[in-house]
Amino acid sequence: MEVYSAPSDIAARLAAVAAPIRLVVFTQTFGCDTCYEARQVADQMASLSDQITVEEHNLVLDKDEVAKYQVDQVPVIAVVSERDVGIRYYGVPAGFEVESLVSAIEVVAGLAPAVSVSTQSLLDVLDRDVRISVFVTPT
Amino acid sequence: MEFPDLARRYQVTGVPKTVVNDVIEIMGSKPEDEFIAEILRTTE
Repeated sequence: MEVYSAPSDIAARLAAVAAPIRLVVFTQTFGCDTCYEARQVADQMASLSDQITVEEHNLVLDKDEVAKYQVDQVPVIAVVSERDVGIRYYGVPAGFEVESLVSAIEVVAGLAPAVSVSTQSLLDVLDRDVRISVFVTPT
Repeated sequence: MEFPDLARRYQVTGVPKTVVNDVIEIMGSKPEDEFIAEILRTTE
């Protein structure tokens, strides 16, 4: 499994996105050392695809959006299409972790299956939301 | 390090670490079928 994509590869992958994707970035003005960087990464992704747009909301001020996207820390990037399947990237997807954000965009855009067919059949029995938190560190 | 409070709350001492519904902990990466088996434990 490939764990790293060169920037040119990321450009090609994002250029293939054929569905509107919104990167909804939550930041706050004070006490967030990495918020600006998270917004920059989102902007870079958007610069590589006409389908990707960036929205920014303030965790403190934009209470309706905070409630809608159910976020409680910053920075966070919600990856949504017409439907919000609940994918959130907390922190800055820096270094190799940009792969996580690109993969999330591909999945949400319908370009890549999130799981195999056999796994999907197992998950079909789930009748409630499951919260999966993956802790990583940028490298 | 970002989110030190979350790292403490979930006792993250190494990555990747996955937490399912705040109760099930998965250390490291696992094959997809084993990972899914852990997730399905939440339905038990």
